[in-house]
Amino acid sequence: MSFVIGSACIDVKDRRCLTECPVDCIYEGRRKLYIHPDECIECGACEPLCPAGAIYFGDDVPPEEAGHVEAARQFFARIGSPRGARAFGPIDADVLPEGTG
Amino acid sequence: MAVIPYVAIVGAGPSGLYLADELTRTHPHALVDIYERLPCPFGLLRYGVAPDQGKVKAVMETLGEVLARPRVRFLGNVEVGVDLPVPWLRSAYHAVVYATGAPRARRVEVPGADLAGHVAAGEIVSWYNAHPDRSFDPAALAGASSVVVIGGGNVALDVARMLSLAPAALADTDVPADVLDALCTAPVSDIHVVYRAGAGVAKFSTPELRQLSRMEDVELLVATPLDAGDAPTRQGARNIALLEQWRSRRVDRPRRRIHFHFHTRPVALIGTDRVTGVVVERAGLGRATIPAQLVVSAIGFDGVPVPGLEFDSTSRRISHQDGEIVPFGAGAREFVTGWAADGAVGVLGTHRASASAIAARIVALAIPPLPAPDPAAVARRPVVTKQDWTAIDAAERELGRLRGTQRVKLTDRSVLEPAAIVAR
Repeated sequence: MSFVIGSACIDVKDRRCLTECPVDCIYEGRRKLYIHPDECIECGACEPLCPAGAIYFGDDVPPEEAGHVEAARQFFARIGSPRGARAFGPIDADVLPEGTG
Repeated sequence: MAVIPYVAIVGAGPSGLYLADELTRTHPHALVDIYERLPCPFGLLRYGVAPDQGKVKAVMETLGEVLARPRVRFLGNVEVGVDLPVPWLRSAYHAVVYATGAPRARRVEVPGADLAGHVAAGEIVSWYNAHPDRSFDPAALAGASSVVVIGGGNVALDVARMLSLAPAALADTDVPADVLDALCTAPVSDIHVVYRAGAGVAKFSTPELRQLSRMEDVELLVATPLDAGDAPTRQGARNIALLEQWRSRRVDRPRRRIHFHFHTRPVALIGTDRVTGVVVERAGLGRATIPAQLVVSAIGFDGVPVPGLEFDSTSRRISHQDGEIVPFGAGAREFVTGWAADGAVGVLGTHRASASAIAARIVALAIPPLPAPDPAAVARRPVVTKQDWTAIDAAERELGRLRGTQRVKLTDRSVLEPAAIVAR
């Protein structure tokens, strides 16, 4: 199960994770960053880089952050799989779990 | 008219290809020549990442797109410093970047380390990954019921897992037929992973550790206490939680047992002509002997010198300051990136950031015009081109189709070198 970015990224968007993702699968929304669940190769490069500690391995997402798994799926449902966040550019939208932000 | 920057990258592994990606993205005209010692590209992705890591191996598709760009040339089968002298590169390019990685695997140096049956992880990794220079003799595996793997990183886990995978899972990888046979028939029953420090500071990445528990007929055992003193890293804390779960997991009639020994360091390898066991010192628990017919040192990798460049024998890396080789005089600016610069640390992608920093420095150079480099006229060995690689790639995919998997790798230089490619 892919890595997931949770609430701690909202309105922070440090972006350090973007630079080291080997498959460039971390996309920028309006208020937070999103890991593409189908493009992520689960290498774990991003997780220790996040100063906010916002990145979770799929199986270890704490219950209060679990909504971000489905939110990321919905976020990418409209976009498909562009295979390259940099070329695709920022996306002027967000999908956040209910009661977030 | 704009001056075209000519850039040579030495090493077609992930670091070199990430740099080629950055250079061709951020400069409208830069031409990039990628030199590779081996006939095939992708370095560690092809020859280091374990064959069952399909998702990571798939990064080859992404980096293959970089290689396919018109402004990128591939010059395989050419070892810079041997087949092509460093001063020639210096004179022919505006910038030369060494991304030669860290291919030399370390071995523990304890009494008995020279016994037959003790190998560096690199040897076994090169073997199952069909490296053209592989030297591991699979006969060592044919007599091994117990294997000790020394080390606390992902390579140690890779080796433990590759020696544990079920035949069907192995067949669905790119390993060549001889490797498949040797792994499927190996009599291994127990694998001991021995690490000198605690689980909280081991370098295992949590996803890799978790992969072990996906093998349902493999029993995972933790032989020593988990909480002996270290302040765990965030990753370490997660790993400890996972290992704790395994303590209560029991497997009926396991095909393999993997034992974790933390705070345990090897003191000696014992045996007469071949290794038969490893004497270990366990913190607070004294000495013990773990039987082993095969011992694998997975304690890290070092860089290798490039003839013509200064090599720091302490750090085992090409000498550089902040990524740049101190100028020799006139000619190309020279840089070092990836594992060749920073040592063998981090996961794939860790060095993408340094690739973009070096690309930015190269793009900013003020450069005089140069004639287009013609390495094929100078190289002492026939060059494997992009078209040749495409032919190798197609042949491997066809072999894969026959086995019902994506790819089966070709190993021997005799079939990978240009003469053989033409004859095919």
